[in-house]
Amino acid sequence: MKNPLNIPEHLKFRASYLFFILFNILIGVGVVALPRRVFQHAKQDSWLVIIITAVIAHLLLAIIIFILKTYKGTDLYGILQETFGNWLAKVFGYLFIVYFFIVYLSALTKYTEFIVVFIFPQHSRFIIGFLMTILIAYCIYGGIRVIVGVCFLFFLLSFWLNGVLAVPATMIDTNNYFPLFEIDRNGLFNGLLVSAYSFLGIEVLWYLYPYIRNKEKTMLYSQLGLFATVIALLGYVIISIGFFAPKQLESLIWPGFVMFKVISFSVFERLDIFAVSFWKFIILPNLILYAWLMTRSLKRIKHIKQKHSIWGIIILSSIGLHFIDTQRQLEHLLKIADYSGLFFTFLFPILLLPFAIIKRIRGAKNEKQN
Amino acid sequence: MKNKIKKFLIIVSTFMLLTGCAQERILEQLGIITAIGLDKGEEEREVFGSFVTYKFSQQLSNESTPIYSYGRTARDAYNQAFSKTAKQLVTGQLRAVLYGPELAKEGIWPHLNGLQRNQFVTDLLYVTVTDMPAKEVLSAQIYEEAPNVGIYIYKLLDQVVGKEQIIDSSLHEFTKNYMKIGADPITPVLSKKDDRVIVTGLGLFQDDRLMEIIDLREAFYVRLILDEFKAGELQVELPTENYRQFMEDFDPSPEEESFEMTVQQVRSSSTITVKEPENNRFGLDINFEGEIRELNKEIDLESEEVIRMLEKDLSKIIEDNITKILEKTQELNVDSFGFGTFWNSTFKGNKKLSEEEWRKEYPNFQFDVNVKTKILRHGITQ
Repeated sequence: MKNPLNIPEHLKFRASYLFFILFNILIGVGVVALPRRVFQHAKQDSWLVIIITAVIAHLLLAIIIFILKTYKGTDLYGILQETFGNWLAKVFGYLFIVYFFIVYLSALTKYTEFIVVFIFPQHSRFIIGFLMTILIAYCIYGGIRVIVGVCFLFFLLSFWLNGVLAVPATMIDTNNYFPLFEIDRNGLFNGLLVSAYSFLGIEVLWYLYPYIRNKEKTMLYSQLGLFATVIALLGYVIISIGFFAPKQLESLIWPGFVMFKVISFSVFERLDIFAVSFWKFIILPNLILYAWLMTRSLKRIKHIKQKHSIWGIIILSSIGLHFIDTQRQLEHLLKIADYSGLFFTFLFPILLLPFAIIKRIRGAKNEKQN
Repeated sequence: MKNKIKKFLIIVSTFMLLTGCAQERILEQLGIITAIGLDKGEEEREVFGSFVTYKFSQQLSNESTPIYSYGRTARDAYNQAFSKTAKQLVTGQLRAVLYGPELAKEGIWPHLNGLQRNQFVTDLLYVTVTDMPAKEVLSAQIYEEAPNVGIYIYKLLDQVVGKEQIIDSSLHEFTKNYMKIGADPITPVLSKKDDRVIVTGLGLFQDDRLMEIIDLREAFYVRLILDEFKAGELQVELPTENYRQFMEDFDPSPEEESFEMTVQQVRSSSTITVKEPENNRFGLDINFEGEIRELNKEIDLESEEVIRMLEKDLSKIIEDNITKILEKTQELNVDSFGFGTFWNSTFKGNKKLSEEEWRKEYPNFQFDVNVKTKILRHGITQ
């Protein structure tokens, strides 16, 4: 191995935290728009599409972990170096950084968009976004263990919000789900494509794997985290299909938040506004993980200190925030993020899989010879 | 030492940076709108808006008048209202919109769309129509303990919906039914009587146009089809003739042709199925359970036979009333009960009805109404 990673023992964390990390990185800004985006193509069979995509995502996760296990304890950059050599590894490494940045920026802009639309229409998105990035810098300064802790805590803080959806769930109209299986091939394909976007983020394992203390449990907990995400996504999709009229669902930009509009408690009348601000607990771990991924890969490639590179990222994302100010530009950015995500999340592991299999076979032969 | 100064500076700078309000909103300076009334304006394509707001003054005057304004759209009328009050008008507490009859007959969607699009307006707001100009209704001066007539209307509707006298009609429900192919919205109808706002019935819509107003008695049957009852109340009139022999024990034997009966704690469920697709025939099965609360004539409720007869008669009355309402909706071509959606959720592809086909077909739908009644008990006396 060219680049054995020696992660100090005190920086490692237990595999069970992967459950929270995966849940946090997968549930982000996308989930509030997901019901509409899938429904546009798959209509009342959207839930079926989500299940199919989820199965594919589970398989991919298994492939990623299989590859990581084959290369024993190194991360994506190490694997690339070993299979493609130094030069190509760097190219792919940088491409991944650009991809992480696009995802990071689109999540950040989209969340500031929520705030501007729902709560403070007069506010500059630049300031909202900038204040958030300071929190991100704090976590990067704290290192991986702080990040894992944030994921765990914010999961506990934000999880109950999904339970509130029980209220719109009581108002669903079962007619909206029928007839079943009306979907055609075109709708299925486009639906799969769209719902695939909500599974972007499992690539976090590429860089996190070396930090896991008990690696044999990786598979179990990451799959569980993914499964929990699937349940949450299905919940959102199924409830919004029943809750809205078909035409209405297609016309709403963020059906996820609109569902919160019918929830009202005697002490808290407008839960939708609360939900938008509370969504920060869902977004923040997401952004922190992407920021960490970027700084981490920069460190691996260029040996830049993470504490330094994070400021570069913050400045760049602030500039980006300033320039993306219409909803249309944001949609463009999201589209770029989605398409590149399809490649980096879904195709890349499959690309690496043959190399890993060859390595395994060779390894087995070598063992026999010895 | 250096570290301490650094920490101190950081803390001070956070205080400096993070204090202060994003957007100041002082309660006394806000005109919090609780109800909006919209009427047709004097000119063509003009609306007349009445805005009821909270008052936070120390001296509570009994007199309260809404703010009035004209505008091309509801939003425009709202903007025009800005120049008629010293307060900043906000819509976050909006509880009810009232549409005058003329406006409602022309279609309310153009004036509702803005509300539905506005993220500050709650989806739980009541959409209602009035049978006199909305301005009239909102000028009602008696509103009990409520701080203003808007809140009063909200409480009134909450109470009436809670009592299961009418069906729920929030902005969300209205939008949903308006947008759905195969269903039409229903709203409560408000009116003013003796300077008080009252609920008089339900308004049946075709798309966004008010077609017919039905009274509260009929509203019971509408709810019976659309929703389920958990603790409703029904008053019916029964013919005396069949029951005369069971009344003989009691003096004096009644002279009148009919007697009144109140059924309470009504529990019901309804199922709509497509029975014979080739004949456009629907099955409408209703299960009805209740307790006898009041009879204005004495009948021997001990005997099983009487109860059975009452059940049968009740079923018949309910069936007749439902059939009457269904015929009415077919005449007006309003599918308030969403039979179209039941059809569309049963069939795939070509057999599905498009919006035009559904409008054309609805008057030809056939219904098999089947009501099963069960009288559970009859109060604490025999």
